[in-house]
Amino acid sequence: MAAAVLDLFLNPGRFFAQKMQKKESLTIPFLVVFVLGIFSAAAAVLSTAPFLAMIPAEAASFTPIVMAIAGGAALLASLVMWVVCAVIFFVISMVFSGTGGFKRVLEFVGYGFLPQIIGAAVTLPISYLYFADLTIPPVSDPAQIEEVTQQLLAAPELQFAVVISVLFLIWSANIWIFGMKESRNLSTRNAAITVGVPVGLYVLSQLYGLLFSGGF
Amino acid sequence: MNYAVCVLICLLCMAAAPAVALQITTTDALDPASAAAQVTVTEKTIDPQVLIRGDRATVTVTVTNNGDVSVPITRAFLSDASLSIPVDSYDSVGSIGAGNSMTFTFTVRVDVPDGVYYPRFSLNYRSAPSLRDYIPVKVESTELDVSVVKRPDSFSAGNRETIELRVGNPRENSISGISVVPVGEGVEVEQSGSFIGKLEPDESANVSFDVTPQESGTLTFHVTYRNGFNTHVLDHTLPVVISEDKKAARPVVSNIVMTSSGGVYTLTGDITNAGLKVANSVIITTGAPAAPAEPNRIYVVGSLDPDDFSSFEVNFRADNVDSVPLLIQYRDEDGNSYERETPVSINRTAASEEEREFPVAIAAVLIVAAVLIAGIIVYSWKKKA
Repeated sequence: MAAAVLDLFLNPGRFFAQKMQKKESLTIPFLVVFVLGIFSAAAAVLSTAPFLAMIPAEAASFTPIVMAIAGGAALLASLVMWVVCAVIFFVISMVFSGTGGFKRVLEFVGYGFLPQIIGAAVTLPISYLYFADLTIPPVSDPAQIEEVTQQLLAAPELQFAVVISVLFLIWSANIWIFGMKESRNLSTRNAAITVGVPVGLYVLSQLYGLLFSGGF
Repeated sequence: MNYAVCVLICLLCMAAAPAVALQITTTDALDPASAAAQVTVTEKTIDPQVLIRGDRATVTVTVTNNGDVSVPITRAFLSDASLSIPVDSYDSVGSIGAGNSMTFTFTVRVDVPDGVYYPRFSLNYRSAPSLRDYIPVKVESTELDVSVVKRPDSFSAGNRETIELRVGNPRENSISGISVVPVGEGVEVEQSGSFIGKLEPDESANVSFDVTPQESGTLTFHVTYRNGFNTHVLDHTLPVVISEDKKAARPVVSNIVMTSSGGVYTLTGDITNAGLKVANSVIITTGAPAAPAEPNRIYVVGSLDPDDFSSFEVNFRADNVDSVPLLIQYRDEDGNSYERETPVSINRTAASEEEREFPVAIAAVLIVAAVLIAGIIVYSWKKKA
């Protein structure tokens, strides 16, 4: 198992070439995305808890429900992102006359999320350290809620966490290039475009958000 | 015949009796000096007994005819070269009957230095030497004694203090209608005045006033009293100088720690009463340009005894400022409100240093991750080649 993971990280071309010899299986990719979803859910619960202090005392009984919804939504979002990424890559690869089924694309994209589990494992303690000491005063004015939220999200800790996530996303993208090349029978260049364009746009949007929020 | 003689004798006697009586009376009236000698001064009074220079007094002289015959009086008068006597003479007195008394009243004014004066009372008779007597009038201008027996060591603006006066009567006679009225600019006195009434010689009475000065000035006590029917006013002035109360409560803030999170600063510290009096209702908050924020916009410490201390925590928001004022409000035992302001520097807080260091550690993680990922990516492409 460890050898397979190392192969995926260090020699993804060989890893996916070997997978192409086998029948499509979504079990392991699903587990990968699910574990990533668990980390995302934990991060969502961590970041939601301090904001719940802004809720008026009368609505305090809804706190556990809100936290459960946040965690569930984060988990679900990871699964949805898996499918969305696969669809985007599949559609773009059609431009380059890619061949191969969607299930194989979905499988390889799922493997590609593995580096992001490491990224989540790195950013989760940062989020925990930040939000654990965070004291958010009760705010009744909706305008103040937005102001406080913006101030909290502009914290350097969270901005570094975003950058770290972007780095691990780039690592995933590197794996996805090899995965798309094998699953859709694309040239290296076309696979890089298929993956690089949407991921690049996403990365740019994240960096733009950082600059816009005043970070760095 | 005998009857006729007896009746005649009786008639003669009856006719002769009035003539004999008239002859005896006429014989006595002819010695007016003897009759006047029976008239004496039986009482002489002066009210008030002891006068203050400028006072008016009532001098009353009573004469009694101790003889058996009335004595005609032509004039009664009082005279003195020093004293002023507006109406000094009774010009139509008439006779004073045997065994009767007659009272003569004069008003005198004593615009003279202290001492004892002896105005002369004279009673002139029609046919006899005058009767003369001297009436002592004592002038002694010692006034009431007013002294402060209790006052604070120092006055504070808006701080109520008690001033106690003692009014004593060092005079030989009693003084009546004594009242004390305080007047002062910039000084509020709770009592509009205090009435003492009558003080016998060597007696004293205490009166208290609760004063609240707003600024430095003088507090004057108008002491009004009556000596007889003469009204006098005595002013006693007390300087009121606003200064720091040496024994007052003195809250001191120490051990200040400030942290910041989400734009809200949390300021914690200790407050100690370094004064000698208790500080009541101690409240701590922040002033402009800081804006107090939840959850501790205001921190109520409560009562702080001398040398006692308490911890506190306040929250506030502040943008682009180097320091914020920490406001400490408290009251003394009389309910007077005080406020102290302590500037707290935002830059010197350990929290901000910690905030600066923490991202550096994360940045190190970021750099390591970036290098690692870049290495892996490069390595994976080399393997592919």
